[in-house]
Amino acid sequence: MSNSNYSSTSSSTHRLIKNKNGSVKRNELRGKVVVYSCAVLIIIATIAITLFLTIKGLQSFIVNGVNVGEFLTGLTWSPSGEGDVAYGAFPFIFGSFSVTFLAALFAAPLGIGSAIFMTEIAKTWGQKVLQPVIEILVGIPSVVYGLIGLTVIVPLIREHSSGIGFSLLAGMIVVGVMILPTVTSISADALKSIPQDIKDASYGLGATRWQTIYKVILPAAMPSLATAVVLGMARAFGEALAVQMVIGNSKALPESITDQAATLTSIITLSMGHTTYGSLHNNLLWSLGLILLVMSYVFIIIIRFISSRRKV
Amino acid sequence: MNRRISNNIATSVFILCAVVMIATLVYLLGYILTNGFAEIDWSFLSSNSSSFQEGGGIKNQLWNSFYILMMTMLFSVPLGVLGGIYLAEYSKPGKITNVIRTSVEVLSSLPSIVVGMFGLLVFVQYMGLGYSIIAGALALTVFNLPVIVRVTEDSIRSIPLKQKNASLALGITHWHTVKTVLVPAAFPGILTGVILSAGRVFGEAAALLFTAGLSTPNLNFTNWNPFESTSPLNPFRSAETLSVHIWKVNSQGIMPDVLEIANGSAAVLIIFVLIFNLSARIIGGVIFAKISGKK
Amino acid sequence: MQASDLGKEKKEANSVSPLMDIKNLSVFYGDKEAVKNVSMPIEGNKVTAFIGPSGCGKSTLLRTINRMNDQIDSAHYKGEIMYDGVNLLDKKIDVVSLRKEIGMVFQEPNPFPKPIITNLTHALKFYRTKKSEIQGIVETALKQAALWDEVKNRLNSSAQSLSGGQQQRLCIARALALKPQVLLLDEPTSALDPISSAKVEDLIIELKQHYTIAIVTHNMEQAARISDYTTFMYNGELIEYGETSQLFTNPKEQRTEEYLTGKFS
Ligand SMILES: Nc1ncnc2c1ncn2[C@@H]1O[C@H](COP(=O)(O)OP(=O)(O)OP(=O)(O)O)[C@@H](O)[C@H]1O
Ligand SMILES: [Mg+2]
Repeated sequence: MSNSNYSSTSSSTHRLIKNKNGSVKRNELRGKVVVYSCAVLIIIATIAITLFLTIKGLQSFIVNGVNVGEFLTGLTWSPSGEGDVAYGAFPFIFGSFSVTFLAALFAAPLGIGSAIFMTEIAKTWGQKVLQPVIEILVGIPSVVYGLIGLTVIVPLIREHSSGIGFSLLAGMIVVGVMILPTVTSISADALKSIPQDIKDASYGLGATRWQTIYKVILPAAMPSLATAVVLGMARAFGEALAVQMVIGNSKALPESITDQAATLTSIITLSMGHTTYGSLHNNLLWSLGLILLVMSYVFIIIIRFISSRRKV
Repeated sequence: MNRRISNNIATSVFILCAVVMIATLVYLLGYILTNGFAEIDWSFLSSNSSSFQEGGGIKNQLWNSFYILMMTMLFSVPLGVLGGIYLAEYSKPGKITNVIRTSVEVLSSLPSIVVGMFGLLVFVQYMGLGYSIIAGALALTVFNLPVIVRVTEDSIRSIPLKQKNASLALGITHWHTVKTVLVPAAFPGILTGVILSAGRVFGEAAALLFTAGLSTPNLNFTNWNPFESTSPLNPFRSAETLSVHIWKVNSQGIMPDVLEIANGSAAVLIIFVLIFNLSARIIGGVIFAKISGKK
Repeated sequence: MQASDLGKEKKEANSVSPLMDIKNLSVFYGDKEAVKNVSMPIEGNKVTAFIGPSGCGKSTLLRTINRMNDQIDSAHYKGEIMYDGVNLLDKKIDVVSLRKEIGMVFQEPNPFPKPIITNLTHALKFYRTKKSEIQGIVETALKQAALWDEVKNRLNSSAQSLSGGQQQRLCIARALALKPQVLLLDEPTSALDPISSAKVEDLIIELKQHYTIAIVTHNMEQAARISDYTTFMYNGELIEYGETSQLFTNPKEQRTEEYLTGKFS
């Protein structure tokens, strides 16, 4: 069909052709610039954090010539000693991992069990009352958990053991209680997202509630529940103040669970302010920080791996 | 009847779990609130803290907590909302979007002490801000940003597509649609998330130890010139917040009433965190009802 | 091709070319071809109806005209839609101005959850319409949409307090306030009760005096009642295009006849 009758409008100035200076165009562009710069800023911040902390954390190995193997496996920590300098961080690495695993051992069954109670047993009450309360508890600051640990749990352990109360056990209980609401709340969300019809199918076959939970619900929710626990562990691993307040911060490897111990975070918290910037001791603290950074990437990778197997 | 027995045992175990958990948590809250409430009176809230005598208060700490909170929100809310808008509206599936998603995930899983160390390195030292309110607020921005990004993205994604189509089909630009249709519709969700995150920021301590510092100069509450060193508004002075105070009196305090001060401060802290939490829920609900126009 | 033949007849009769001319249009979602090589005119100041079984590509075709399909990442197209001397599928087209000029109303009423008046002024304000004019435009649009009498006393109450039919007319008024050239209506009455539907139908007949209308409908009687031209699509292809009276009474294609007599749907 010919378009001759439209020849009056030359196509380059047609009202429907994009016009670089139009106010509409400028409005759109302005929005894009603002939004994209924020996105880029988020990337830059992440890269900057990773880069700065990595470079700083490697200083002790590069500048001070600390041996990586000795740092990771050595048992003695006396980086600013007059005589022999020792920089074995193994007791802290051990402390961090044991607090994390013991806390998870405590919080995972209790949290998942409570989540099952909330979603399968006392549904209305659980979801109307318990879940909001637990979500509020997620928000209780960790120093408060530390303070309670200090005033309740430490004396309790002191009475019932030979130690002074400040101990690995105290750290584990405080952190375990601290991550309990987190684990419960995420687990409950996971259990709720399981479609009702697969539960109904199981009950329809005459299965009891326990059989349904055990054979149908738990397997279906497993990856999400595992994510909940790993998220809790990540939080436990990185927790600083609550642990530092109750664990005793001894630099030696604990011999029993009621012994004093230390974690990566508690040593950083304790010593960062007392060391001279750039000194060996200070650089070693940044290397401990680098372990924390690496571990938070490891937790992300674990969570991604678990989610990739998620069925629900 | 094995089935029935195991079912009953299992049910009892789950009930026990819930009871243990609730009892623990209620005990904790109750412990702090009952022990702490006794310490709270007007002079506790309105007097300066003391470093070795009895009877110190938390006036400056409380002020610092709110000041840092406000400044953190000032930085993190605009950035986070725009970042969330990017993810919900502008990102196309692909590498860059993945990088941003991963970034948000990394930021949100960084331990707060690590954020504090980054703040010490970059804000306090390289940027020369020293131990200061602004360095603390910047560190907490890193800590809070991913939370705001996520609530914004979720709130915008939950708006029905037909709202967006309605605006676009009227010949309105994408950006104007975002500003005038999507963000207003997402507002209740975003606001709820922001207030909730405020509770988290308010209670955070580890990220502040090395950025905002452990001490506060003697503040003069009659001097509101932000450029003077004793002004409460001076963003370049060091500032110990309430949460940091709780930690500090316990680990370094030598005054005789350490425990009373810590308990009192913890009770005040928890009360504010509860206020943030409850108001987030209430405000979210009210605005939601209003916006959806169901009277 | 029947379509272009018909276009020529038209041209000779009225010596005006159609307002819009779709040429060899194919639309894809990824690899799936949802609209297959469709050519047809859309005549100015007439109602063109699109009928055909579900999934045959009617909405896709309509959404391609005002480029709403650009929203869908996987969507892409071939062919041309000539309109006022430009190809609407051209990369250089400013889709924002295009959508202002070619308005669209969707199957489900989608007023903004804001006051009635704001629904109308939303776009007007964006286009910096003078304050003094806005009041008049709003009133005219609501009158054209036969909604004025029902809402004139509650312009500030929420649009969601309106009934479904009122909401749909509000959506039409909202599009009319921009003084578009063409209105694309995608099953505008399918979510409405018979009385509201009838009101919207009357409105469409009224509107064609000033506007060119393309409407998708599943309701055969509705197409027969309100349209001047009808397009029957099947499986992405245009099977038959013609004047409504002719297509309904004397279809040229066997598949059209089968569809109209309900042999398949
Ligand atoms: N976003 C999309 N992505 C992929 N395929 C799509 C998309 N939208 C529609 N389709 C497919 O394109 C074909 C045409 O869809 P379209 O919505 O245009 O049909 P329709 O004729 O409007 O149907 P109905 O009468 O049910 O509204 C269908 O097969 C549909 O599955
Ligand atoms: Mg359709």
